[in-house]
Amino acid sequence: MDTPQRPNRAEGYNLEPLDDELLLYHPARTQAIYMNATATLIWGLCDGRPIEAITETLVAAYPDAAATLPAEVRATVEKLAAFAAIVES
Amino acid sequence: MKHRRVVGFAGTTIAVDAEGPAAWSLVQFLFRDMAEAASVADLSFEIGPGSAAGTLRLTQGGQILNAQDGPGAIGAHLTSDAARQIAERTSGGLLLHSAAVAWNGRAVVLPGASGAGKTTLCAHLVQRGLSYLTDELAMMSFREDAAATVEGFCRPMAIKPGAWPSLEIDLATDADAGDSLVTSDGYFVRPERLNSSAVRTATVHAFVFPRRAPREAAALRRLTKAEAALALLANLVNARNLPEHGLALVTRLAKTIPAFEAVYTDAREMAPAVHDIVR
Repeated sequence: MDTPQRPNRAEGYNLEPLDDELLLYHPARTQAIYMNATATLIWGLCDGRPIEAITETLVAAYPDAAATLPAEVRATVEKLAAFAAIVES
Repeated sequence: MKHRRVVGFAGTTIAVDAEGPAAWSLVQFLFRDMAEAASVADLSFEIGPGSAAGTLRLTQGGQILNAQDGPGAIGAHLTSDAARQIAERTSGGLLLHSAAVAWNGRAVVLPGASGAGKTTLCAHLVQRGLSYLTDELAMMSFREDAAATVEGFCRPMAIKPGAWPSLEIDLATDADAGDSLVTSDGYFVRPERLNSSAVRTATVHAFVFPRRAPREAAALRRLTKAEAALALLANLVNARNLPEHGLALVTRLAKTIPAFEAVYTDAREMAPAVHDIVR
């Protein structure tokens, strides 16, 4: 599967915030996805902007993690795309 | 001579009619610790003599489910079918595929898929003196004071052969003592055989998700609330009967009850740490 280049959140998911993490639940698919704090931030930025812009936004906010964030953003987007929780804009 | 036992669990009443002393003895063994219920049953089973000596016949509504096995295998068939049908109809709370034990009224709930090791860990905790609630189905609900409670499907523990050495009990030589029974893949063991007893309900104090991992050191890791909610959803057996598939109730439990992942090779090494959670 190709990594979405302009990822956008898919419809139909219930969001259950639990502290700084998130549970995405799709009732029709009876599918739940665990999101740690970083994945929750990435999910929130999946609004159709380019994947590079998501990374740049997070690097600006967390410069100490600049070395690892690009791979983490890509891996999270790929994981969410595999669940069909995000789609290409 | 016919006897009838009617028990209740999770709002469902189960009646079992027994014909003959062997069938009645089995019914008493299986359901001794479950609550008596009204005589009007939601599920009805019948057990009588089988076609060959030493066998029993299990039927439901006249339909033969098993007519060729001994008491232990018939008991396993009956409790398995009853548990499945209870899961299909329960809508009054969260029903988890789970074991559960309690210490002074405080329960540790041990959800897990088949083979996760929940019965073995449960047996070791019972052997340490914790009370037994279930090794198969746990019904979660909330009291008016908001405390979460658990009710156990209190059949005898279904212990597989791999667990016997660590429990250090010789089931093979005293299977007829009244507290254990041979099944097709192990033994049914009542908590008295492990020097403890059963309780029907307790206040939920913690969730522990067992995970056997060969060659890993025993470790108890606190789960985040989101991790706990995901793990609870994975072990929920009546989601289809609940509003929003039980998500609101699951997250309420995850927010209020501490949850842990127990990773271990030998349940005997993990039991003291789990016991400490409720001690």
